[in-house]
This record gives sequence, C-alpha cells and structure tokens, in this order.
Amino acid sequence: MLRLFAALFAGLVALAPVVAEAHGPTRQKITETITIDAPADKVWAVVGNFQDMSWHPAVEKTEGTGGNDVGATRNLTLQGGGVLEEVLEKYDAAKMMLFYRMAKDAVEVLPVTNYSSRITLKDVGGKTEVTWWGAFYRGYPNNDPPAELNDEAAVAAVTGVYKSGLEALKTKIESGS
Amino acid sequence: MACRTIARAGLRLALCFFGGQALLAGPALADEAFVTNQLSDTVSVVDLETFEEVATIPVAGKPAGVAVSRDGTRVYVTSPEGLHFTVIDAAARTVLRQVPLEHGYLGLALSIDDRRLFLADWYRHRISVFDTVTFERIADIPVGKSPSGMWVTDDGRHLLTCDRDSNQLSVIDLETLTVAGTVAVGERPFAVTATEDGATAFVANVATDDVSVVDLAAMREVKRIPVGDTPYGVALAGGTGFVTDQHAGTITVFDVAAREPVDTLDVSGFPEGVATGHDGRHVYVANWDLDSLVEIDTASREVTREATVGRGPRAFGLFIRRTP
Repeated sequence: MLRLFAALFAGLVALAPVVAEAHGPTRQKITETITIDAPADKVWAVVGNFQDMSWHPAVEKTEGTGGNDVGATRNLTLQGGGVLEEVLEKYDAAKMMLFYRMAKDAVEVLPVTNYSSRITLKDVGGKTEVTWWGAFYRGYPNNDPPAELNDEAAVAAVTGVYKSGLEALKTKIESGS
Repeated sequence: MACRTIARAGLRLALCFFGGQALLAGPALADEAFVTNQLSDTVSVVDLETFEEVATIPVAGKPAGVAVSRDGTRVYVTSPEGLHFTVIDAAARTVLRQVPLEHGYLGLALSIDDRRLFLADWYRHRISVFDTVTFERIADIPVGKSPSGMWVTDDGRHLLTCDRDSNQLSVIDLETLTVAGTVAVGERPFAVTATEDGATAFVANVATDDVSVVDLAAMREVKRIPVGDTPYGVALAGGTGFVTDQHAGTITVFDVAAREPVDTLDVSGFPEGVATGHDGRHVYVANWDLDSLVEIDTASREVTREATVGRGPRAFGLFIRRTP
C-alpha cells in the first residue's frame, strides 16, 4: 500500500492540475470481494462507520462530520501524506450497504476523477462476503493520457486500495482486534 | 384494420383482420434495443419481445452514444476514444462503415428525415453535422462547453443541446444551422428531451440533482423538478417522465403536466441511458453497473424484465429500433 502511494507520488508531482469539471472519455469499474469468517453484523460494526476508516492500512486519520447520515463528510489522511475528501451519498444499515463519492478529485493522491464507491456486506452461511465496488474515470481527462494517469493506472491504483483494504479488514476481524 | 402478433414455434406472424377475414401479413419482427457496451467495445441487440440479447456487434473505441434512424434501417454510434463514428446496418447487424472523426464525440441525434446526423464534440465545444448519404461534414456549429445530450424537436426545426460545462441549453435552428438562443439551466446538464408539441424541454442536471423545465417559446427555465442523486437521462412516455438517477440507483417518475415527481423506482446499480418504446407502454434503461437492460412498465411503474448485455452499457441516445 505504502509503496503504491509512494510510486504514485513520484510520478505525479510534476503534473499540471486538471480541470475539475472535465473527465476522461470512459468510466471504469472494478469489484473486489473477500469472505470474512465472522458474522455480518460484526463486520458492519467496523466498515459501517463512515467516520472511522482506520481498518484500512493506508489511512492514518479519519476526520469528518455528520456521522452516518447522507451528506456526511470525511477527510482521509493517508500514510505518507495526501488527503482524500469523501461524501456519504447512500447509507442502508438494513442492507448493510454504504455508497460514497470523492468530493474533490485529488489525482496526486489517487489517479482517478469522478470517483464513487460502494461497500456491501452479505451473510453467507454465518460468514460475511464483503464487496467493494468503485466507479471512476482516469486521472487525465483528455485523450492521450500520460502512463501514470491512464485507464490502466486508475484501475491498478483502485484495485490496490481495495485488495489491501479488504485483506487488512479480514485480518483485523478474524484476529479479533 | 386490426393487427395482432402471435408467437408460435419461434416464428412471429402478424395477423391482420379485414372485415372479419384474417390475412397473413408475413413475419412481423419485434422492435429492438441497440445498447452500446462501452467497456466491452460492442453493441448488444436486444429483442424487445423475448427480452433477450439476440446479437452482438463489435464496435471499437469505447462506444457510448447511439441513434437509431426513424426508418429503422440504420444505427449510428459514437466512440469517444475512437477516431470515427460507426454506421450499422440494423437488420444485418453489420458495420456498414466507420466515418473518420476527431476523438471525443459522445452525444448524437438524427434529423426527423434521417438525412442529417448531429454529433456533439465534447472537447471542441461544437456540433458537427454530417450528411447520412454522402457522409460529408456539412457544418460545425459552435455551442457552449462540452455539449453532451441532444434532442430534435418533433417538428424537425430545432436541435436542443445540453452544454454541460456551460450550464445551458442551446437551441439550434436546423434550417440555418446556427444557434437561435441559449437558456440557463441547472448545473452540468447532460440529457434533454421535449414534449411532442415542442413547447417544453426537460433537462437532467447531473450536479444539482434536478430536471430543468424549459419553456421553448419563451426561451427560459420555468421550474426545477427535484430528482434522485446524479440524474443522467430523461425520457417521456405520454404524460409521464422517467429520469435515471445514476448514483441513487433509482428512476424518478414525474408528471409532465404538473411538473412534479410522483414516484421513485429502485433499479439498483448505475442507471444511465433511457428511451421510450414506440407504443409508449415501456421505457428501457441501460444499467451500467449491472451490465443489463431494464424494462419498466410505464402504467404500473414497475420493473418488469431485465436482460443481460455487455460490460458497462451506456445507451446514450434514442436506442430503440422500430423494426420495419
């Protein structure tokens, strides 16, 4: 995780800021899933708190307002620097689903624009299937993107965030910490 | 004359009754949806009677925008990442030709007589007009920033364009091919439709979560209809409007006359392109997240069927084919 962000920073420092409202031509989507050997309500107690993303190894600090209400905000300060600002758009405790988006693009932190994300939990015979889904455009909004801001870079970065996050979540909950 | 379609042994026949006598009128094919699958570089053809995908047509360049000719013979597709737009033979399910074009075109629309194709140039802020017989470029009409969704009024006289990053609707006179006027709407307008009489336009505003109601005679916005999170498409079926709320995963239903929301349907995922079937009994919605086409009964306001299509369907435009 740290290496991922370090690599991203190295490639992105020299880039000019992009126009906030524009976005690249093709929206991407990815889904990562993991099964955790614990009841869903126990997992939901962790990931269902929009104001605490400490379960993710890349997140150093979560600061926000509004709790788990629609419109709640949080700033994720990442290990090694960089802040992601996110807004909660949907929250369904009964379905164990939350949906949020990035309030402001920060391609120097995560090389994507117009990013939105959904985490859904599902009970599978007493275990929990966690699905983390993301939709986003690449970091560079026009054609002929530099390699570090193309579709592949965007997909690789978000996939890395999801995989490392889900694995850490599994370890945290299964070890009872 | 009354006609009825029957299905038997895989063959559909239209029976038409003249004064009590039944005549066999030959095969009557179902209408079809042509759905652009942006992430799989294909167009899915969905039979609207069986509601199954019946053909897949490869189209390179991340196809997104689509317009089916009113005579049902051709389908035009934009590929924002390609250097072309694509002309499909609807019946043969084959690519007739790819016409060279700069990258970044998304929205498209046809003139009422199918003779002219209008393509919205997201990056260069203009509408390019092509002849559909010679495929020559007739004009480039400058509009506001990042034009996206478009609509040709039923009288054939005007083209409406959503100038997404200028927060305005442009009205183009199709006789002179010049902008007759602009109307300020909500933030990031992306899709537009208009009533049959051409009096009123409805514009989906992605960033303000509402639909602008535009009086096209007075050339001004007269109302906002609140809808769900991130509206991406809008279609009318008789007196009812249907808006795809992309982030909410819902369809907001509104009353066209009252200009008020009346219902919300849950479809989950990311609903995007929406178009009305020719008999007005159904609207069809591309669900980008769930890789499906959804059928909604416009009377009961229920999701009735869902068909699997390719990855990341957009179906941005008039994607329903009236099969000849």
